[in-house]
Amino acid sequence: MLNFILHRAGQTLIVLFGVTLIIFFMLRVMPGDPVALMFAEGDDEDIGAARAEFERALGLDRPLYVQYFVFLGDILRLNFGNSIVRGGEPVLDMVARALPLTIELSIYALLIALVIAVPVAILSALKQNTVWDRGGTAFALIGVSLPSFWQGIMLVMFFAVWIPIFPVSGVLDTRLSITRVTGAPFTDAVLTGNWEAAWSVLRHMTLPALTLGTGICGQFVRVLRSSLLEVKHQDFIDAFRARGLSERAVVRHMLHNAMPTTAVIIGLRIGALLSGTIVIETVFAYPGMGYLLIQAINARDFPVVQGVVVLLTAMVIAANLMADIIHGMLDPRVKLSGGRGNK
Amino acid sequence: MTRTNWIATAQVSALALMLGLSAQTVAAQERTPSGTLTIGWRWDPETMDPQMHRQRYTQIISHNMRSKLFYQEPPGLAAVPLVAESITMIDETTYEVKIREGVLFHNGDELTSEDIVFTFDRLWAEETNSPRAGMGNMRNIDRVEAVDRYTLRWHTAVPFGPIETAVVAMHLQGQEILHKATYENLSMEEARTHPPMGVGPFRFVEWIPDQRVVMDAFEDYFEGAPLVERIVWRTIPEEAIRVAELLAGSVDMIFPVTPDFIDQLRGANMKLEIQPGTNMRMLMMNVREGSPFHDPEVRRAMQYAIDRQAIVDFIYSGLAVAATQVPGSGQEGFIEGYNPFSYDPDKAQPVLSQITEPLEMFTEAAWELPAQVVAEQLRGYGMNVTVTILDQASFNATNEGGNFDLLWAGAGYGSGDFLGAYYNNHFDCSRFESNRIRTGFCDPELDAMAREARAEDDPELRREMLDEIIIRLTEVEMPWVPVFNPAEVWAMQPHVEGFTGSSAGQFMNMHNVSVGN
Repeated sequence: MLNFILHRAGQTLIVLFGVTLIIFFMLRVMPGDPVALMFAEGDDEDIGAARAEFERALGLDRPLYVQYFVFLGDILRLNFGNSIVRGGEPVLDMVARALPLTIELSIYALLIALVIAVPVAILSALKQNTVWDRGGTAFALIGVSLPSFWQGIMLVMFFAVWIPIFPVSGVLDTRLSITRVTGAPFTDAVLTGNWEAAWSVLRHMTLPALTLGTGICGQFVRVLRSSLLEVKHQDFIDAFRARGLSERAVVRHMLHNAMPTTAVIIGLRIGALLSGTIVIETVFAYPGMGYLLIQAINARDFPVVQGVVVLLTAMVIAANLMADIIHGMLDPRVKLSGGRGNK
Repeated sequence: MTRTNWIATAQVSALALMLGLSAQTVAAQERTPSGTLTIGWRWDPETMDPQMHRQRYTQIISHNMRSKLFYQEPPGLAAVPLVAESITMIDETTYEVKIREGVLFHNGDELTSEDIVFTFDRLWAEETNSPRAGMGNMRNIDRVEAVDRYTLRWHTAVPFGPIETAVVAMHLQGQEILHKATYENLSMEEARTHPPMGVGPFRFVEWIPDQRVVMDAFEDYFEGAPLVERIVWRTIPEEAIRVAELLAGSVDMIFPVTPDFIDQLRGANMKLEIQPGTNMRMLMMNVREGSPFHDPEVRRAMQYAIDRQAIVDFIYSGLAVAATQVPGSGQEGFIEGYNPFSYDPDKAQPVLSQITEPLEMFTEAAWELPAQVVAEQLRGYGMNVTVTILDQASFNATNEGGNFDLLWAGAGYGSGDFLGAYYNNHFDCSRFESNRIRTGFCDPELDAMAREARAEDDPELRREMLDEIIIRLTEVEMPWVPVFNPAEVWAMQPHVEGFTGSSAGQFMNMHNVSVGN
């Protein structure tokens, strides 16, 4: 296990180095830069000179390779720089503000996805080739195919405007406030016993989590259904039935055997979950990592885009590593090892 | 105009101001703030330091907490005194500003000229590295000094012209006043998030970045207490969601609103506040050698080719004004009724049908529809025009680099100024020195005329000179086809009263806004 983790940590460092290289130069190759955008309009008599001075003060007039090594050196010291657009706010502060929101939203979306996916997959697998199975497969296909932007707006129109059950957007009712403990609003509200705020946060998260959750649950349904079908025809399941186990107990055993594959898929979908937040968070005015990233890209806020991408990459790699470890723990047949010759 | 005339004008203004003040004093006694107004808008302020940004929306928030010497009273563009009481031109490079007495900061301190000197000194200090330091013509200001507790003098390196233009050039309508005792002890990092201390109608309560800014009424505001007790500014980037919030009743007002949602909002009995905008949309042509638009006859034909009114009527449902000249409606130099090129396809056809080479028109996603309509109109003459959509940053780079045949662009004139920054940024040859190519148009003779007109303080002579410059740009040089000015639109619940939108878009003056329930 230790070997495996060390081996993956080494790979991670190489990947992260590659990501810093790609994101740094890709941003510079793209047309436009933050200072040009900032000075694109304004009533300065000599806007060109004003812009040049500002660029100089930020070091953006230095050769690109110098800027890259400065960026790399800063990252090694865990300094992700300061936002150019947002008055010099440290990138880490922005991430610390946005990340807990995204984590809570992602967990909620994941729970919704599982709550929908597990029964649908079980029903599809147990009643294979029936109308239930075809319905479940169609549901999975629709979930994967619906554009999240459109789905989000539709959910808002139905459940916030026409039948006002949930708030339209945002994080918390404007009358309420939460004492910061971890930065994650629901967790903080619970930790401080602020139940009204916790309920408000949960209601605000429901529509974005539902949009995000239905987007990923389709894939869960398909994977879990396939795994269950595979297990369903195994001899030991027939043996359970022959021994007179109840159907509920048989299903429990089937699930236990099908879960490792699904756990891996969940881990692999963390990346998709995070990329899904880019659209969902913007639609629902939910200021998490996706929202932060899209705002920073639009403003060409180089340090913020670089910092967020590097951190997101690290998170996705960590999630995949966790999925592998959990897979190993759930399925004793899988042996985790690292390095050459240790297979 | 002579110095005596300016003093007389200032005295009349001061008298009017005093009369106004006494009326306001009475009104102030009757003003009791009540209710909460929630505004859903697209943005979030970038910082709480008013000197470290260049965005209108950050300024809108800041202005409600920290007033300025002058401001553009909605709905117009003219700068009128706010904290200033009067301004006098001492000589062609010296202006004297008197400020109101008894103006209080939110902590109860009285505003003095020292606070204003500190504000501008901090703005221009090298260590501040403020992106606003060069706004207007502030680079040509030598210094600002306090004459006494309520009097200041601005000393300029070059003549700034009559008071109306000097106020804009000195950016007195654009800089919020800081409280010296607070800000002189703050580092730049601390000032970014420090609760704003100002003399504005609202006091800072809270800022949760990307979520909301909350401010409460300041009852000792020098123009009387605001009518609303609390304002919550909620950040909602997506327009469809802003509209849904308004329809759901969870916000009282939204901004901005595009024509796509107007019918839906009207159908739901929402109130609309519509003001002519100050962002002209135009078709820029590359006039450099090698481009088909290098030929003035082609540029002239382009002026006849586009049916502006059809775009205004059918795409913008009337929420725009067709543009017919280089300055926009309400801008300095705008010539009332001047429309040298009416829509005339017969005049456009013979010239434009000769241009068969493929041409690319660049635009941003927000302007795709009108750009496509214009491209289709041009294709009707036999031109081979395709539209390419760019994101804002790429579009800006294309614009500055002059890397286009046609560019569906915009030019804002929120300050109302024409001969200053607006002319310099779009037409003056000096812009090439900082690689702002744009259309590639340059005429040193016209630049000299603009500089001469700028320094002219006789209004009639200045008007004549401006007319000549504008007619030459619009009718002879024609680097643009002016197309239209979209309106600024706010939508609100029926119970919101007293809001007047600003054409400049720089201000949302909430002082007189009330909520019925």
